[in-house]
Amino acid sequence: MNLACSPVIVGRLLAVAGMLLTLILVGCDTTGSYPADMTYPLRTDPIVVKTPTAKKDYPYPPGQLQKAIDEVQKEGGTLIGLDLYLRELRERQGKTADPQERKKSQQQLQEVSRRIPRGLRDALDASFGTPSRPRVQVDPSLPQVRQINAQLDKLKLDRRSLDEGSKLYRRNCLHCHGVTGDGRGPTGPWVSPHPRDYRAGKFKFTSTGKEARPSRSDLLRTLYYGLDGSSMPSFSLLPEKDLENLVSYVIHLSLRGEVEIFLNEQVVSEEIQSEADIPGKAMDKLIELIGKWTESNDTQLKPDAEWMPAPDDREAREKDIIAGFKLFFNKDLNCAGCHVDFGRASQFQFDNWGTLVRPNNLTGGAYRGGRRPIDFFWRIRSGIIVMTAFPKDFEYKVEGKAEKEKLDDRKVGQLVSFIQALPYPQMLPADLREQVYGIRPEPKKEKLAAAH
Amino acid sequence: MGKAWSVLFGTVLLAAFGLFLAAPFIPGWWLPGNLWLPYGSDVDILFYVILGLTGFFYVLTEAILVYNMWQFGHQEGRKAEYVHGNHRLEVFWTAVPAALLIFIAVVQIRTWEHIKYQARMPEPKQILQATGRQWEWRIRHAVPTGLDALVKELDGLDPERRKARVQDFSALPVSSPRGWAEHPEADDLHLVNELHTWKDADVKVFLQTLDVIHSFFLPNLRLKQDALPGKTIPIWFSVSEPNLEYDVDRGIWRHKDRPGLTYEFACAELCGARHYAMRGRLCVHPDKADYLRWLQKASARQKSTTPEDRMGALTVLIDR
Repeated sequence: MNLACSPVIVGRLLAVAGMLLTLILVGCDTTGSYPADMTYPLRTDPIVVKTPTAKKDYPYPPGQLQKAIDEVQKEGGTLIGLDLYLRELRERQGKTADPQERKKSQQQLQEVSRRIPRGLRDALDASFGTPSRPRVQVDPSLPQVRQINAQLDKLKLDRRSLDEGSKLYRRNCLHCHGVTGDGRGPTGPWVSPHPRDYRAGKFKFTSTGKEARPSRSDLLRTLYYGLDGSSMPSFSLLPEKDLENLVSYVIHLSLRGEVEIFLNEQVVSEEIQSEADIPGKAMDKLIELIGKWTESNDTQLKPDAEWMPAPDDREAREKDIIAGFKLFFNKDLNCAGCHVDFGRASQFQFDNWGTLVRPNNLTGGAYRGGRRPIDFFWRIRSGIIVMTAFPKDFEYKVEGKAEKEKLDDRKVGQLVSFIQALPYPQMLPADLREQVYGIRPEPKKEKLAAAH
Repeated sequence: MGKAWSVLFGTVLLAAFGLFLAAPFIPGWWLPGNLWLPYGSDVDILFYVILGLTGFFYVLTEAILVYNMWQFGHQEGRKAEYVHGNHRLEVFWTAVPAALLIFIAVVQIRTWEHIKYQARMPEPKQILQATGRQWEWRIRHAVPTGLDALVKELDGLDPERRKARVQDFSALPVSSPRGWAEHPEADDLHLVNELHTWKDADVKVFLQTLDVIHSFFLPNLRLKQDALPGKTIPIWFSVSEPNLEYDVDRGIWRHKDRPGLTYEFACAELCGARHYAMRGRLCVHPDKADYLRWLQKASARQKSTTPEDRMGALTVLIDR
């Protein structure tokens, strides 16, 4: 009989076809949301509470994020975490000889290894829901619940926005930023700089001032333009409604992450000793954070009207560039201390998340937070987390003057004029150009034309 | 049983052919609207020529295959014949395809030359620089000096005078196009995933990439060019139909696409996780004056020293 029509072969072919079909159908997902039974996993990686000040010449190789963060301790930083605390407790227990002490520490171990994680999970799930049904919920029996709900509305943390945001996040953001917003999605280890870990409640490109949360418009701006020079792309092709929902979901993840960090810190410092302490503390912290986010959302730093000269006033511009250059090298402001050689020789520094990052090369012309003058203003006034913020009353000493000067908006304008001109040799006055680029004469435009 | 296999093959091939015949009539299954005349249409003509030739041979060879499977499948008691080959036939069926391939190679030279050869590219009326990076296109528009003054002047003129005035005004920067592509200027307009031009403008785009190989693909213009790391590669095109309309009252532009036609560009070289998302909008203004008006507004926004709207977005100028 013809081999090709043997029932065994045909049977096998059909079986293979059936299996492939099943695999394809299993991957089909009509709702677009996370599985209904999925919950947010508890944080297991350590929290960086003290950032090392060491500087490095090279970043860690890609794919080794956790190893890199674990090394933070070696470099002079401090890590805390539930796992580290448990380890410490076990060591302590191993060392005690007194039976009473042993019993106590055994109970403590039980509490911290079993009941406290359960308590954390319950408290966090109660306030923040699950990935498929994310929420920001406060205890309805609280007296100030109406005020808090008003704040939540302002922040657009309602049920609908969060549900939609969750679906969009899963589709567009999850692979880098992870389920809990920890920056450890599958793509995360392979991009540099590392995707933002929202859980610390810190965001880099804000317009709200030092130590403040970003406003919704800051997050929208990041989504809309992307961060030029990093792997964060622009999502301007998504409809505006989608961007708003994504922002809501990111705020939700950040709130959850911060509450979780706070609770972990409290456990490690032994202010939370038992499971019963957790819900109250979690709720207090959540309310405090909602207040902070609302306050930041209403803040937007505005420069004085005359902080920069008119764009076509060349003379004023040139004067500003020279003044900005001097400010750049001021010892107290110390721009040149981090942006070594205008950023061309910057070393890597540790940021609050334990990763190594480098101050921007300001001669490159690529700016993550935006290239408009107002964006530069915000970078200087708000800082970039690792880069300190320079508020209006920042005082610095100028050579030859007895009194310290304040970094008012006009001075920031001078700095901004300088930074704007820095990537373009022909924009700099001749002697500055020589200092920055080593080129004395004006680059001849005819030369460029002749070369092509 | 042997006949069953040939029936299976025959049915599948016939179904495929049937789908192919039906495709032009199913929306979204055939070529997108062509917006580049005449060179885009030349590409389409070549496509159909090659399609016709290959289609003919497809039908022919598959029909022969199915027939042979049917006729000469295994049968009890029948032994296979050993055939030495037919020299004349083999020469024939080598020479004919060879001639056809040479024909195809020759017939496409003209079009390739017009589209790809730098020496044949017309003097550009507009130059752009597109940098692909994972996973977006960053497009830089040249902003000519004197733009603010010109736009102010144009607002006071009637359409005739406006056309004449704008004709003389060069949208190109002073230095050479390639020089500009490789040395950005301070007042260049930077956009993400968005490209602006005007009707019938000869646009020259210089492609670069920051990381891996991307490919700048304009489906409506039948134009595709790989962006290679380390190289600056020029391409040119011209769009024959605008899709924007200025709303005087709101001071913004509105999309006015022909139904079923999406003006877009995309990445055509697999470049990582979000390669599929590397798309952009092609915005075509009705004339040069309108384009310059938009350019001036967008450029002013980039020089913004005050926090304007919520997003401070450059492209809230385009109403989606």
